[in-house]
Amino acid sequence: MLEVRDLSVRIGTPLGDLSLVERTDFILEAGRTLGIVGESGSGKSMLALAIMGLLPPSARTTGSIKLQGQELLSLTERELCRIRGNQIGMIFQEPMTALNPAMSIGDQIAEGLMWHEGLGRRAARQRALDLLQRVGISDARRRLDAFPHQLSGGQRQRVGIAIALACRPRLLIADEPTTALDVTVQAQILDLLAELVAEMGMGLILISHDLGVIAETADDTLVMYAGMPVEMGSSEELFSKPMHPYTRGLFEAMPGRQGPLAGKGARLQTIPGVVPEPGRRPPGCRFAGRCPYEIAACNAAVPEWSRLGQSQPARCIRLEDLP
Amino acid sequence: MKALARHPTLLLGGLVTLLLLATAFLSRVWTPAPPTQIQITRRLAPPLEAGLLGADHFGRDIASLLMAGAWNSLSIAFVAVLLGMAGGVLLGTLAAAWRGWAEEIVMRLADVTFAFPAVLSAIMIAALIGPGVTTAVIAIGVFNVPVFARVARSAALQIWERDFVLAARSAGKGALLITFHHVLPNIAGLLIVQATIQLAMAILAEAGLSFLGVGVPPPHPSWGRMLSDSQTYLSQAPHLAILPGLAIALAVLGFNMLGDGLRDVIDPKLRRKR
Repeated sequence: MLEVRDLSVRIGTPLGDLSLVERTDFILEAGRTLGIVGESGSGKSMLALAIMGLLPPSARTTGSIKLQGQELLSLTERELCRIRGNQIGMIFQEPMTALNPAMSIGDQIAEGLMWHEGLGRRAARQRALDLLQRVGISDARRRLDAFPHQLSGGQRQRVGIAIALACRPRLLIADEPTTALDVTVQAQILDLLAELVAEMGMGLILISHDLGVIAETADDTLVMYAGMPVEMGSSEELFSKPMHPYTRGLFEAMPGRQGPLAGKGARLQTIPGVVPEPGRRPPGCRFAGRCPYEIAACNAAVPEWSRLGQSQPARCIRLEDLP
Repeated sequence: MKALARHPTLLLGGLVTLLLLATAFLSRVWTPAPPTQIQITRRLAPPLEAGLLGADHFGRDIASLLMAGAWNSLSIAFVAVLLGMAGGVLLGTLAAAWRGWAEEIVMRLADVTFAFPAVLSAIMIAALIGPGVTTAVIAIGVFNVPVFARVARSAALQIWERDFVLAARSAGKGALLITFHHVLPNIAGLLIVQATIQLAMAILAEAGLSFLGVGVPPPHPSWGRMLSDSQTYLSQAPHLAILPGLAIALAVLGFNMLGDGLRDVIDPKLRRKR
């Protein structure tokens, strides 16, 4: 349903072109959830905005993004407006700031319906009410006229989901939808998302830096590092046997979960260093410099996808030599 | 009411403004004497000798002149600021929405307009269409357009950076729709504050224009012309200058305080630390 091929995003700055996303390919089928995981600065959000066509004007996107066979990168802004909200919905990280403080939530949900589906005010309001009930807002009729500041964080995120789902999009992109929420509310929101994906048969791209969230929700997982996918596979495989040294590092840095390489009672590991900024990335493997298994050849060229037996593919030239 | 008690500036400014408005409206139906009635016997009479505030060089009742002058002054200021606000907000928000060359053109036009003081443009407009109320309204209105264009643009640019605008864009809304539904409601408070402060400036500008003779034409009463008329009699009858001067100062002070008070209430982040 969604097919991304060789996608890259470059942004023009006074210091020259910077590459934010590179060599990204994936396919998402309807009814499935793709988790995209990575640290801050790994290009996850840029990838989401690129699919929406909402990057700043100074950014250039190349490659191909096909939604149900339609090439999104060749569309004009006007054509994209017809697709955004209608065929692609998006949920944002901060439910606090992603809602207009000066507009009732009912109006904010109804707005998209009136705009995309040409519904009248009354019909749109009725649909907004149904949606609010569907996303689990109690006393929805009264809440329809509430303003965002009158709702709790979890309720606001439910409203955000209702807005994103209003026109029954084929594809839903959730950019860190639970990061700003309490842990208990997180689980409720993730359950709701999973339920809605199954019910509406849409594809969900779930972006998170939280491996727990991805493991719980995603069918497939894409690990991003410094603007490039480094490992990709079904969540089950990837979480039981991570291949790429970066993915392994992420797992070991996860509290409460024993990484496959860590013994019982081991100290929580960290990955030394930080994600290199765009423009300061190593020429070869982007993880070189932080990788414990680095050899000289790692810096020669960007590694191609490789597999070890039946494992999921990873961009690492040393898969065979890793412990 | 609690908000009023916590903001004395707002309370005081609001009271002064309300008083001014009431006086202006009252002058439409009642003044102590007809403001244009000439009674040469009480020429230059000091306050309380003829009427409450005395009489001017034609023996006209000053209290009545001030009241009627308030109406002229305020109505010109309101219409001019409203026009300037409509034009400026439209240009400013569109500049923020479209960015690029549209923004560049609007802002450079604003710069050009800003380069001409209101008084200068009023004299130019008066030279074209003759002095009068329309001249004053156009001159003050034009002067207000770039002020509002700048304020609206910078406020709108901040709103455009907010997540909910990104959310609106991700819902497929275009620049115009976002401007009307998301940007304008969120900058309205700021614009109201700016309008209040611009009203004070407009009252001052109108007085200046009338002083120079390009504002309200005689015999219609005007604070500015009362001031300019008083110059000849400054030593004999100083109240001729003091009273309209006080009226102007009080009006400007009232609107300024109201504007400051409103800003404190509407945007607590800008509130000055006591």
